[in-house]
Amino acid sequence: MAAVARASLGRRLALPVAACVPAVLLAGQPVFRGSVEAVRLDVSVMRGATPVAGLTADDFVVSDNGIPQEVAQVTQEAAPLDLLLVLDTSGSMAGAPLAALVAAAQRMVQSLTPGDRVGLVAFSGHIAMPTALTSNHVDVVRALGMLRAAGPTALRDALFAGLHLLTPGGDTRPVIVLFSDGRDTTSWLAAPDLEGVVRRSGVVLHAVELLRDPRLTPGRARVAGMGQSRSLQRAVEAGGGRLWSAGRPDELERRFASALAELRARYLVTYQPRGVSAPGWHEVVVRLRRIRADVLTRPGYFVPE
Amino acid sequence: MVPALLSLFAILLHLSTGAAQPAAEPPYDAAVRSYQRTGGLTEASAALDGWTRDDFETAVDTVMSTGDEQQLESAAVFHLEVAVGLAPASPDGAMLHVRLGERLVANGLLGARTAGAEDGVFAARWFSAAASVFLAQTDTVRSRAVVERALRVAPAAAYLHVVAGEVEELEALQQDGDIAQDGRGSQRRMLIAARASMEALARLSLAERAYRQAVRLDPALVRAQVRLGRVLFLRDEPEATAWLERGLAAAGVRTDRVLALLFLSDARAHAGRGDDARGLLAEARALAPGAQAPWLALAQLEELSGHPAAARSIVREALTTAAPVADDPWIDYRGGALNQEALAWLRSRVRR
Repeated sequence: MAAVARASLGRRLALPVAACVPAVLLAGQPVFRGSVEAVRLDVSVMRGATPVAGLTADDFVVSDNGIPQEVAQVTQEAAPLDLLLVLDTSGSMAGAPLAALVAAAQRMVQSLTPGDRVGLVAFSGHIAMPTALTSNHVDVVRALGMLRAAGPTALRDALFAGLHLLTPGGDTRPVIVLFSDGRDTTSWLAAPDLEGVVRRSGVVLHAVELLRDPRLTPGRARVAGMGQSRSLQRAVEAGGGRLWSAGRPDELERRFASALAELRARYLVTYQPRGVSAPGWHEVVVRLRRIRADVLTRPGYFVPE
Repeated sequence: MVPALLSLFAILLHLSTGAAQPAAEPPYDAAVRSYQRTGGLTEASAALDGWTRDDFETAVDTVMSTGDEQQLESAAVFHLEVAVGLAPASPDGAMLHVRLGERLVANGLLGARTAGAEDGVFAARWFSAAASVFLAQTDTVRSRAVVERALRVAPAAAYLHVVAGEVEELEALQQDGDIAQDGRGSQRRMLIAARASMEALARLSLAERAYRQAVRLDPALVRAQVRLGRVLFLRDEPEATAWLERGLAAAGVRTDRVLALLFLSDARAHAGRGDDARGLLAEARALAPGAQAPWLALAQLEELSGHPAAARSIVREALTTAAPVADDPWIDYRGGALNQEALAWLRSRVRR
């Protein structure tokens, strides 16, 4: 769902607009020099828990700052993933929860395709990067097996760090799958600060949470505004992804698998923005024509001065 | 460490089971002397294996009846050390030893006579360390209980007011910050958010009052100045910067200095003085290279200044070069920590 204006986009997707529009890529953010070359949205379309397949450009309606846009191209599974796992290894994860998390994450990594890259960030009060993005999935599986649980929880700081380890704007789809089982206790960053960073990042954010109150079902937790669902929900909304809640450690593997399936089924919707060349925040709305389904994408993109 | 803990657990076990009753005085004296001599708890704890709560109470009564200041102080610090060892696994056991130590300090050292300046310093350090035993476990309820009792005994101890403020501040920070900042959603959620915000602000207000009292009592107390500055900043009070500058100018202890640099950089960044903030954060990183908060603060500053590439580079460097440290000033501030400074002072005092 990354909204990205990029010189490289025309090269890879062979957009006819790319050659004639003066746009440059600066650190993955769209930069206006007259106009943005193209905006690429990473869009999830689900009906219940099932991804909706087979959609074309005609099925999507896109507006940019309220101005209807013409969709140039829609592809599915076109680009490999740059997947960063950002995993909570605080003290509360010791024992069975960590074992379940490691198993779930290892299974997810083993399910990636050879073109995908994957990296690992583990956090408690300290944030570590056992493996940077790599195509060597075996290394990441091994690093996952070495994780140990101890210390407090710097969830927001870890997510902030993760967002800065991915570079949107390449030929891959930058994605973070964040896992946590508890409230943030030691982050430097405040929640509202982080939401802005997620919005500007161009990275798709999925989160998996493990609810620690046995009385809570994921649905009840969200309705009651309990657990950590609120802050994570807002972060994933800003990142155009989903929050997957597990009531027990043994449900984690299924949640991670669902997240990966959703990522695989997402569409890349590309348009050349018209009539909206101003710097600043661009609110993007994506809807479907004639089809009833749940559409998720980033709420917009940011164009610096 | 492990044998020491095992011995501590042995003490705890017998406290709860009420097992054998050996003669009290000699082993207790031996244990305290052993601790005083070696600074270690293993040998000392072994001498008290099998003791009940009553045994300890009787032994403490005996020490108090002697009026021997050195013995009173040594025994008080001994119980404090036992509490430190027990706190992670047995808060109740830790609290029992804190209460025993409190009797020695409050009734034995300060009780029957007018406390001299020396006694006051010892008591303030002892109580602030005792309160921090529970603060380090994020147990604000027990911390507050210790501080409130301590302030009744030594109301003019500036250090104790700092700890009182820290308890309130920690509780405010432990309020779900996300709830406090989440005004969206259902009416129920908005009410929860509003209530949490009000409670957090009230706690910060209590913390401010405690820190102000501390700096009134001891204008040179850097820890109080820095904490006061931060609380005022969190409450958006313009006076914050002056206190942080004052704290930074006087900060000699590493923890105080790193926090002062971090907090003042935040204030500078919010005032649009990015270059000043960068300079302060550079010093913080040099002082505490393993602490990640100054790195992340700098990365955030660059990100907000429109330099995402610089932010990325800083984050990468932070994750690859900042090795984890046991004494991270920000994490200790945010999560509560044992007052090592007071504990070290007490240890050296009883081993003089």
